[in-house]
Amino acid sequence: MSENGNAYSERYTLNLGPQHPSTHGVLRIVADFDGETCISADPVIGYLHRGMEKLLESRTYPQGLPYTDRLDYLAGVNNNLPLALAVEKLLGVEIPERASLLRMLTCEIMRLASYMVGIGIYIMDLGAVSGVFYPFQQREYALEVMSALCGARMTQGYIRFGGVQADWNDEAEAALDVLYKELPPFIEMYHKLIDENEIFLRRTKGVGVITAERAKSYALTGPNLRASGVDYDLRRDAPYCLYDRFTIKVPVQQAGDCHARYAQRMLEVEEILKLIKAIHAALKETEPGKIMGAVPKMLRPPAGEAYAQTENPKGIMGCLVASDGKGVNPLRVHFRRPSFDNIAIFSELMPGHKVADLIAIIASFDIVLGEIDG
Amino acid sequence: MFGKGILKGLAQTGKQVVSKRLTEKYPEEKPHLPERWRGNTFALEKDKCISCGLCAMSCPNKVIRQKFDKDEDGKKICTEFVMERQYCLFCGLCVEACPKGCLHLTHDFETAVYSAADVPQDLLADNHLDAAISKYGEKPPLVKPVIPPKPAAAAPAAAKPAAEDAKGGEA
Ligand code: SF4
Ligand code: SF4
Repeated sequence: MSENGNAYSERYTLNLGPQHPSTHGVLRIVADFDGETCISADPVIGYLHRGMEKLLESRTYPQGLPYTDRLDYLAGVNNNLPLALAVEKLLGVEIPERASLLRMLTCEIMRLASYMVGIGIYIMDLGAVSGVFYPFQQREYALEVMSALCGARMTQGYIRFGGVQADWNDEAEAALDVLYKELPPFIEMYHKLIDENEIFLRRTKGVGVITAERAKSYALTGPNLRASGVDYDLRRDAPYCLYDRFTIKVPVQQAGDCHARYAQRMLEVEEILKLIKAIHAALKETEPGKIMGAVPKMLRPPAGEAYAQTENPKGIMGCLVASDGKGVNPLRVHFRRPSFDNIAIFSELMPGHKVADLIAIIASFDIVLGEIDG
Repeated sequence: MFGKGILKGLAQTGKQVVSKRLTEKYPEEKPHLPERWRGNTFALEKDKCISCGLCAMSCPNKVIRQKFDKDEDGKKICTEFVMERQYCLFCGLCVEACPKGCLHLTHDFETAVYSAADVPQDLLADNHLDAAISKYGEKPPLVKPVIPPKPAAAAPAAAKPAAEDAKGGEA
């Protein structure tokens, strides 16, 4: 008899990843198993480390911005924002209203795109390969808006210190109309496709349960936190940009299991769409053209440090920028990357589960390795 | 009944089977590119370029290799202008930095070549203006009049710290 009570099984170590399609990139998990049951799990990271913070420190402030897109590469603009907000705090510049609205609009569009990937890949990791294509189509509509607006689908680098790079145009408007048209039928269809599927339910209900207490003590953020019953969303609770102008409904799930994390994202998608419509309406009321604040060509923020955080698709992204007041490079840049903090709970969450559940747990967290490894 | 949810899902799949095909038939049909779309090559309007070097200074990855010289009138000219595209992020900062708006991104995306040596683009040898030019970074006309004598000398002086940082003080 083994320690787990399983007859004829012995303890062995299974190396999951880094080259494995269901690890969302290059996450490696070294897990000990007794038969089918996980005894311990240890995430090993760093396979995609590019030294993002040091890259930023060795470049001027504006030159650093395009690199941040490569953190959470599924939601490029969302990563620009915390850096921009932190540097703007140091500079003390005023952001025009239209620029703020454009930032929020693009962030919400990319949040939608990122959720689509999160949901689609989740379903695919559980074995339903065709389930990934429908959300990816919606994501494509969202990326079309971005490529019409700023010329790139994924690594947009759209936000500039003091404003945004380009103004809203007719092409982006047309692309957004397509998204408005296509998304609601998709949401309805996807609920029908997945929600009652017995295989999906049995593989996710009661698997990887995180209580609200554990979620908070492990500093989970984003949809993973809200799926555990903690009602916290920065956009509503500590608004940045102009989020305080809009009513943001934050859905919350109580179960805290893998299924709740899926349901949470599907509910949030609907709220995001409503928010996009509200911001879009507000954007139409502002005067076109004013998208940059008064920012000097050579950025030399006064000495000091500033921290800004935003609600990213994966959780709370924070950025600390320190300036010595002399150089054109930041003295120190540090990112709080939500996926990195979220996976800390894996070592506690995974033991006790079966091999296949590990995949469900990883998938339900919607991690992105560009962000974890920095 | 166990399996009802699966059947309901299958009905959705069935509907998708008969719905409109979304796949673009790529090599036969070219994708539609928005006008601001950032492609993978550059084009340079050589006669408009004032050899200020601001594009190279703004580049985060030292993609732009430029050499400058003086011609017989003492005017600064550019003798080398190579885009080392293999290091490029296609962020477009160079295009935005150009005071004359003469550096452009294009709509080229089929840029596979046989040899690594073909990746850098020598913009003085081939300014590549025959490609579809992207409207990325196009600015509305400047309100402030540009002072005609020696704008080339004034610009790098103003941006000197960036020059030291990005290009080792070469400009
Ligand atoms: S697009 Fe960006 S990386 Fe490429 S040459 Fe221009 S500034 Fe440099
Ligand atoms: S910034 Fe424009 S004008 Fe100046 S050297 Fe580059 S291409 Fe020429």
